[in-house]
Amino acid sequence: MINSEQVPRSTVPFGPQHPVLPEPIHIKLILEDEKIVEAIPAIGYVHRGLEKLTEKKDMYKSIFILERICGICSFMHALCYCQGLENLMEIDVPERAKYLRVIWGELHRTHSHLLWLGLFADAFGFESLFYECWKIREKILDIMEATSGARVIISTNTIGGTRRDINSDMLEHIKKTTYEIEEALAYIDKVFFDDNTVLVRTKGVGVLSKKDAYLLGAVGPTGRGSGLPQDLRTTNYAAYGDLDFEPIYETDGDCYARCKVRIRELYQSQKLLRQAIDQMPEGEYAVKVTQKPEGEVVSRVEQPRGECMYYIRGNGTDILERVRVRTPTFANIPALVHMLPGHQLCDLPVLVLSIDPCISCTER
Amino acid sequence: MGLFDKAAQKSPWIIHFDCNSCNGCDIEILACLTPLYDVERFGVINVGNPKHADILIVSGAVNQKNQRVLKNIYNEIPEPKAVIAIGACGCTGGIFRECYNVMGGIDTVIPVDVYVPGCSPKPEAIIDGVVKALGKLEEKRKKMKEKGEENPFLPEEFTSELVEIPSLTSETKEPVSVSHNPEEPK
Amino acid sequence: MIDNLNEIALDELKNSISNMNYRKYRLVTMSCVDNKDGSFDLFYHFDKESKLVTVKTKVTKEDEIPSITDLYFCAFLVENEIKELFGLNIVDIAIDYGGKMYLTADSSEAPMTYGANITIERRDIGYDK
Repeated sequence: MINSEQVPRSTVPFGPQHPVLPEPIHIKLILEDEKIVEAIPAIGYVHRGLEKLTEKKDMYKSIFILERICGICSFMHALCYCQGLENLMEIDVPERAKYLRVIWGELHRTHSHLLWLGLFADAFGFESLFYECWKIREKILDIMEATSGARVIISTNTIGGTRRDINSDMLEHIKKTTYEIEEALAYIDKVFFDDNTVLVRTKGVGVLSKKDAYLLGAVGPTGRGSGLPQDLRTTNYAAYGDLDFEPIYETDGDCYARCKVRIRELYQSQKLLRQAIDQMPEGEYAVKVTQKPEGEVVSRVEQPRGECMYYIRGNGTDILERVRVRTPTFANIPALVHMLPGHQLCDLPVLVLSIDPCISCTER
Repeated sequence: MGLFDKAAQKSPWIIHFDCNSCNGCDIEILACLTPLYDVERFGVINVGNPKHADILIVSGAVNQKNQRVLKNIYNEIPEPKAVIAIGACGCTGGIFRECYNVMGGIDTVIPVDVYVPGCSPKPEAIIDGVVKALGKLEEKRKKMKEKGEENPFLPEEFTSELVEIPSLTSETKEPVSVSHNPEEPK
Repeated sequence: MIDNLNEIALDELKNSISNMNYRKYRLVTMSCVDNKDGSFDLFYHFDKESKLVTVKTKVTKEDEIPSITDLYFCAFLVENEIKELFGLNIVDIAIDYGGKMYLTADSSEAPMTYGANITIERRDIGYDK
């Protein structure tokens, strides 16, 4: 046995350009042999300064800027911002708009989780599984294109409601698609849950205890995989108050648990979609806004990756004084830094992806 | 035409770098590789090493910090090479153009051959961009041959100028680490 | 209009945060707002069972703001961000990036502050040529 003090330390840079990550993040790793002993994240490759840009544009233009914080959860960013301003200006949003928001929100959650499952499979080298997941995801993107005209950034939210309606034929189609997705998921979830090669790479890797997860402020599936049943949809924003669902959580805290949370959330999303379509009332989908925002407000929604928080301060004009965005990955990076030491270098891609990093969210 | 030339002409290997984008374009580039669009049937493979690549696909605008990385990747790709700028922000800076940390489109830093506009462009548009870049690659290869270079793939015969990379002196400040764990070794 | 807002002075800050830590609150994030009169509002948002509690304090650029990373390690990213983008003097951060986390040495200093020298102009890019 070699005494660990005799093992020389080496520094390995991970990123910013790395085949596993579609986005640039740099992690400086200090290794002892193949074991990670310290990890320091260096970010800033995607920092644009969007918070400052919102101070220069009026509040309606800011919606389009804030949607481009992140292309994957763009709808949720707009939702959080619009709900904050609606609370501040005391606008009553029509019931139909609330249900439309739930439908688009859950569609976004489904496509984001499927995207993540694919990338996660790619991280441990299971390429055909990656293709399977992204094949299912295309069904959602087709719906997005049909309902809004764009595949990724759909821009359907506005202050006081939504900018578009979904007609009943399309709603029927969405409902049919949810069954198709459930069927396709039943085919792939066996691989994620039971396949030996997947289990070897995910089970017991990157364990984050419940206490650590709470203290490090882990949110979303990262926190829920460690047994924290925190889901902001239970605070009943939009139409979630009328829908029947329970936060999903697992207690193991490893990569497998985080993966399981996301797959179970996919099933939950399909159920929520069907509920929302069945209960959706007829009527207006937007109201005219005449008020100006004055004062400050904090707004929070549950994104696919976790809790997203907006702090907004207005001064009675169209141009807001400050919009501050806290995105879920920003809260999950400390948990990642805590998780990495003690693992092998080959586990790093799986670990990094298990928190579902979205770097352009983090740096804005 | 030798077998090697023929193969290289039809099967471009691409490398993707996300500069400053919102992920919208990146997931569309990845979507090109997946079953619905499946560019792999044309021999297009997404590689991780710039030394294997023919085409550099860049999404997003350039900022102060990643311009050095982008120039590095560009210089590492062997000749002949083509660059595709994806998305409105890759072409001109787009919606991010007025941000304090954004320098502008990709062409402020490296020469660009094909622009694919849109926010975000559809996978069909991206595939079309790659096909256009193939034509450019062919032109470049022909030019290299006319100059009398027997094998255009030899690294000594770089023809296009290297993009200058700013010096490493003051720019890269290493993060100062103060350990948060008291019993950790020095 | 923020619910559960406690305004405190800067010298009570550390006490108040450790009180929150003792009462098992989760740190959501910190926010900083430039009041345009030389002072900055610093918010510490906490969460417990989906209820938001906010601690607010007023600081200036000269003040020495203690870091809370000894109580909440997860605050290191946001403290570095505020230190860099607003130019506030936050001391003793667990992982200190030396005020250069997002930007490089030749970018503008403290770009998020009011009146920071940011020009919006048509830039000379190759596209126009």
